[in-house]
Amino acid sequence: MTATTTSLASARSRDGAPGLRGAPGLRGTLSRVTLTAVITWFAALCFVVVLLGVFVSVLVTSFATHWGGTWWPDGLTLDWYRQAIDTPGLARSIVTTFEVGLAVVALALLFGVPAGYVLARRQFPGKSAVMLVMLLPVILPPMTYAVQLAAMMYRIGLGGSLLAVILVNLVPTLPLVILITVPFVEQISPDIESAAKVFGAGHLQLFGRVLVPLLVPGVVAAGILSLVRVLGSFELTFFVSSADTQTLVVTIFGKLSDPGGVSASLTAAMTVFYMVIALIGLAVSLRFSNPAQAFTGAAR
Amino acid sequence: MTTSAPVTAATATTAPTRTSRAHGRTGFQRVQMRGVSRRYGRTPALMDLDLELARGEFVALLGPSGCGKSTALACLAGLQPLSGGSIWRDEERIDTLRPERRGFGMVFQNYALFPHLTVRRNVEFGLAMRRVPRPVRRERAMEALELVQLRDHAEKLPAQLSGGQQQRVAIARALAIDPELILMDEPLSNLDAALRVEMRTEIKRLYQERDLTVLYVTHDQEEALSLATRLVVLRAGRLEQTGTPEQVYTQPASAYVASFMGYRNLFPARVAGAADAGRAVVTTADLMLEGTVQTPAVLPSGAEVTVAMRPEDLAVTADGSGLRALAEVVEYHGRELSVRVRTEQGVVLHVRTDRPVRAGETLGLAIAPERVLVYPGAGEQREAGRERDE
Repeated sequence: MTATTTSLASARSRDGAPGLRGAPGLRGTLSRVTLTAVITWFAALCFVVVLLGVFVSVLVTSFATHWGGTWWPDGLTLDWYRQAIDTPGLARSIVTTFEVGLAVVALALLFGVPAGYVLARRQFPGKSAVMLVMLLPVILPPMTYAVQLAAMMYRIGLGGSLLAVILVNLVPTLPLVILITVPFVEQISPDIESAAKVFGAGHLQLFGRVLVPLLVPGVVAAGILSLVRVLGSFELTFFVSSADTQTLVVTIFGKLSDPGGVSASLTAAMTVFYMVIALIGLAVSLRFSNPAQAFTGAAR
Repeated sequence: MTTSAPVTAATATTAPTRTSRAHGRTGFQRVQMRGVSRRYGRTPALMDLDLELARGEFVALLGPSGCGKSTALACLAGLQPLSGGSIWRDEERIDTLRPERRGFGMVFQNYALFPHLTVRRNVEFGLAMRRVPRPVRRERAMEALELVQLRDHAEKLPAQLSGGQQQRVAIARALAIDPELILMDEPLSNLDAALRVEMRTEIKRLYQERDLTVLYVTHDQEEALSLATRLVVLRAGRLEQTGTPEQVYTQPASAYVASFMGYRNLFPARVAGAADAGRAVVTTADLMLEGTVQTPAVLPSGAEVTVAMRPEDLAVTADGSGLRALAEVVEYHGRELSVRVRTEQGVVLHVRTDRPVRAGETLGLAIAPERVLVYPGAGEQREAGRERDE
């Protein structure tokens, strides 16, 4: 954090008066070698190394014929991936993960963004209470309500269906989208909307030409966070899904807790599938969230 | 709205190219607000306001914050619904139209530019909404930007411009649709003092060159006086006075308006005895003044009144004759001095003079009776002073 601010400060001073260009540049270089900067960079490096280490070890395990107590496995193979794909239900659960992820994110955005807009713009008695209630499913551990939700789904005859999986996952994601949208809407001055109206924008044009482009960063952020939640939501999906409607995380957990025991490399291979899906989701979202791109796209 | 509308001779001569294009002007003669009221919950913001704007006028709506002037503008723009009354453009009732159907241009206090669009696309916005073809749109946007001298900044984003430049973009955006009426909501109050004066001249120039009709909301009397062809002073949601800048400046209808028009010396007094027609001798703390009564009603002796005097109307006499007063605080204002004096009777007055005055000096003051304005009612002054402070 300190390092970021220092480099920002030096960047700013470099943009300053041309006559002073030499001096602040030098000061900027010097200020980077402070003790705080060194500690911060070292901590950040450790963090990245550990994270990458875990990631690499999973990756290597998934290709290893056998790996025990040495720096590098005895041999590499694609067998685990072949086995993983052949594992009954895995291919199915990958498809389910995509279906559930897309459906939940789409529905949460479709209803959450307009709801967040209304909540941000309208003042009404009990507004803070509504916001608080919406915060609950987001901050409460899903375990606290997963069982009851699943029971309710079975009661109304949806138990085990794809629809039920989607619905229970909407419980924390919809409020999440709303909560993320509200501050993004509040950032947009109501005068900007007034200006759009006065200059001839109808409801649709106001929405399409002004609000949506301005809300893109917020919508993308909400989408990414919802997707991450759905991909990682184990409890909610676990209780309500059936063999056909499991997401990958539930399937992997099932294999891990298999009494027969599954090799570490096989679960590693499955985990790689899981990571790849998450990364694809992230990459796709980031492509749209690049703010510069969002703005030039709208300006064209 | 998109078909070519008749263009007045004046418009055609100032900008001949404009005759060929389709634009928003429908050749209206007047816009009227009739008995307009607006309440927020139970709090009234506007009460029974009648306001007429004739084509070519520059009307300034003046008043302190909370007097309803911005509400009046928002009602006219269609951004707020009316609680009562109606708005008319010639014979057409427009208060039922949505804002996007009224065809007015508007300039906001905080500029309200679209942050995701370039300067040019901001200016084009109104034309794009009117489905003006792209090349025409671009040409007219560039022309409007030329008027505010921002042609070179067309492809920048608003955030890359200074406050003054942003407000000029906002003005260009309003000019580009060639609206029959431009509404301005305190457009200069976010700018620093020097820029404000410069932009004021710029707005006046555009008004004169482009044959505009403007309704301009402000709390700044100097802005209102220098820009407007007619002033409308609002007080607590009601119309207090309307007239030319000169009328309002020299003959404020009430102590409230006087407090806006630089009558810094405002104090309660009593009628000591009538003099000539309209003249009255008033007294406060033994200070006797001859003033002009600003009401047709006859004020009996002893009636409570408010006296209003402008600091520059109080003259420091060369020979020290007249009202004796001690200079307490002297402020230098370049060509003039602003002096706070205390009369022998203990009344504090503000005086502007170009004579060299030092603090602690005893001066003689004189004022013409016609520049001592006497309003009935003693409560006026306190109320006006308070509202002005808000």
